[in-house]
Amino acid sequence: MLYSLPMDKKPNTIESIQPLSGQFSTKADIRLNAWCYVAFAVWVIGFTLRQRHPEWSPAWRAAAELTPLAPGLLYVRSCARFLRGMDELQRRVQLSALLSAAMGTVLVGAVLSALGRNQILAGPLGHGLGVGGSFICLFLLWLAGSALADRRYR
Amino acid sequence: MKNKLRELRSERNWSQGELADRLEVSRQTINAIETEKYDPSLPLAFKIAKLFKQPIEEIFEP
Repeated sequence: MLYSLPMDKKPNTIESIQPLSGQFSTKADIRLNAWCYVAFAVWVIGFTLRQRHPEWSPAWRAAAELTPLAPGLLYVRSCARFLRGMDELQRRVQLSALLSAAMGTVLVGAVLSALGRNQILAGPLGHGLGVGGSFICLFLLWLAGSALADRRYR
Repeated sequence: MKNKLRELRSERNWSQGELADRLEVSRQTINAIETEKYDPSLPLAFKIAKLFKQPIEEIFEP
């Protein structure tokens, strides 16, 4: 599916969603990231409510914690659409960067967990990356992978 | 893969950006093909051949 759509319009570019690229487009940014912003807002609301209402039942607390997944899934759909709209080289670069970032995140998480289990690493990182840490690691590795691949073809 | 894309583009006095617009790809893709860092997909190769009105094998050679 990712490779079969015809290129019948100007392709999406990564520069259109990078604020300092000089080609930044608010429209492109909103089209791609709107559901991400919604997911973040829902997460903040859920987090605040869980802090303020410790008396809530586990079911309610779980519901508040899992609700951001719905806009999160819609964000994944937006990302897939954005990738489909890229030209073939950009798509290759981004898929490679995403794959490297995912593999790197798994590796970092596994190493941190192993170090934590064997009491070499203490503190919060000793328990692994966690959900937030995984997203941050994924994002940073994607940035690095994307920049490297971009430099190769520029 | 060797190709004559830069030559064909220069004959028409097109910039990389102009050719990219005609082929509906990014300028980076045109540059990567010209510098032989990237081999285009078959649909894009056909599109290039159609644009320059030449058979694919005239433009690209293994």
